[in-house]
Amino acid sequence: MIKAVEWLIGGVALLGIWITALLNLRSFQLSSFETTLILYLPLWGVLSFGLISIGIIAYRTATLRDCPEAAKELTLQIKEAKADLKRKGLKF
Amino acid sequence: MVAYSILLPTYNERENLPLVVWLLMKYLGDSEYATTGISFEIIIIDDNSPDKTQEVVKELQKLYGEEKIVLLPREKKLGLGTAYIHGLKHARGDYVIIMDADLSHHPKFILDFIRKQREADYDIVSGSRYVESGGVFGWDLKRKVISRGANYVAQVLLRPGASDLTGSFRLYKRDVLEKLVKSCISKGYVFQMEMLVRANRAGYSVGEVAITFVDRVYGQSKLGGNEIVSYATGLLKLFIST
Ligand SMILES: Nc1nc2c(ncn2[C@@H]2O[C@H](COP(=O)(O)OP(=O)(O)O)[C@@H](O)[C@H]2O)c(=O)[nH]1
Ligand SMILES: [Mg+2]
Repeated sequence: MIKAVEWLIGGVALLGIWITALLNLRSFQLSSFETTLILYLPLWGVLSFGLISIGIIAYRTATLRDCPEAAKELTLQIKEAKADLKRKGLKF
Repeated sequence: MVAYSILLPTYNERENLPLVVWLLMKYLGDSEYATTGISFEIIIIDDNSPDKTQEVVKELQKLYGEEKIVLLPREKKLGLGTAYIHGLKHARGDYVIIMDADLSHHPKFILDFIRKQREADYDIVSGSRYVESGGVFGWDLKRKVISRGANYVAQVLLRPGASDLTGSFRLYKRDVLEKLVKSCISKGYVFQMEMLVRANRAGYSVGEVAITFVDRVYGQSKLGGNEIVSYATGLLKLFIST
């Protein structure tokens, strides 16, 4: 299925659950804290998704390895290649 | 018989190309697979580079032979996607390896690609900078953040089943690449991403190999300008169409 449609279906389903909860809020007999929690549930959802995402990107940035050894190897090999190609008479 | 065709699109790579070819010869020409029958050709698709890359190609042909080094000249800069299509038409191998000719993709990893492909008869093996022992060199913090961020957003939205979407160091079965490249319409970085996303949707198997990416030493990157904007729009197009 097209990914945008998957997201749409998921979003509508979650929204549906939330709205149902809102409509039946009275029958739950909740404390005022719990009521606000449910009232702003989508907001908490978006906020935590954003925070987790930032966390993941920060972690992945920090763990993206620098590879100086690869650069060093390449530099040496470039020298070697140039010398060898020159010896073989390549004009470049 | 040629088993592997290596496609090298070039635009102003006069300094890099001989070095890349030399390294390819070093690792593939004389490798553990040499005795078990790895045979390969190098196909260079050059878009009439102003720096006369083609002169160097002709020199390389004198040195290594026209069987090994195939030159496919085009009359002007026509972009990477069509360069692959053009190269594919002439590729004789059952497998096609695509890589950049700017030395940021080290030929030594091709041996890992081949080994990986044989492990589970993968349709595609993709080089990844983002898995263990992979990495980059010459990137500042900003570039790392952008790259990781862009990749994360794509992962979340598209779930493509591969860790490095914008890299372009890969091995494909030839018929798989032929099918994919025809169905891909994006340009730039999104093109590489679209290839893997469409492969995922079509059910092709993708193996991954860690690669290190050393920023080019010679010459200039041809991708530039509004990379972020075109990446975002390209990503959204894939989001609503695949
Ligand atoms: N034939 C051809 N090759 C190209 C074109 N644009 C880029 N290339 C080559 O594609 C590879 C990757 O390009 P590069 O500029 O390094 O992109 P970057 O690594 O994403 O910055 C290099 O080998 C270039 O020479 C093009 O329009 N035509
Ligand atoms: Mg490059």
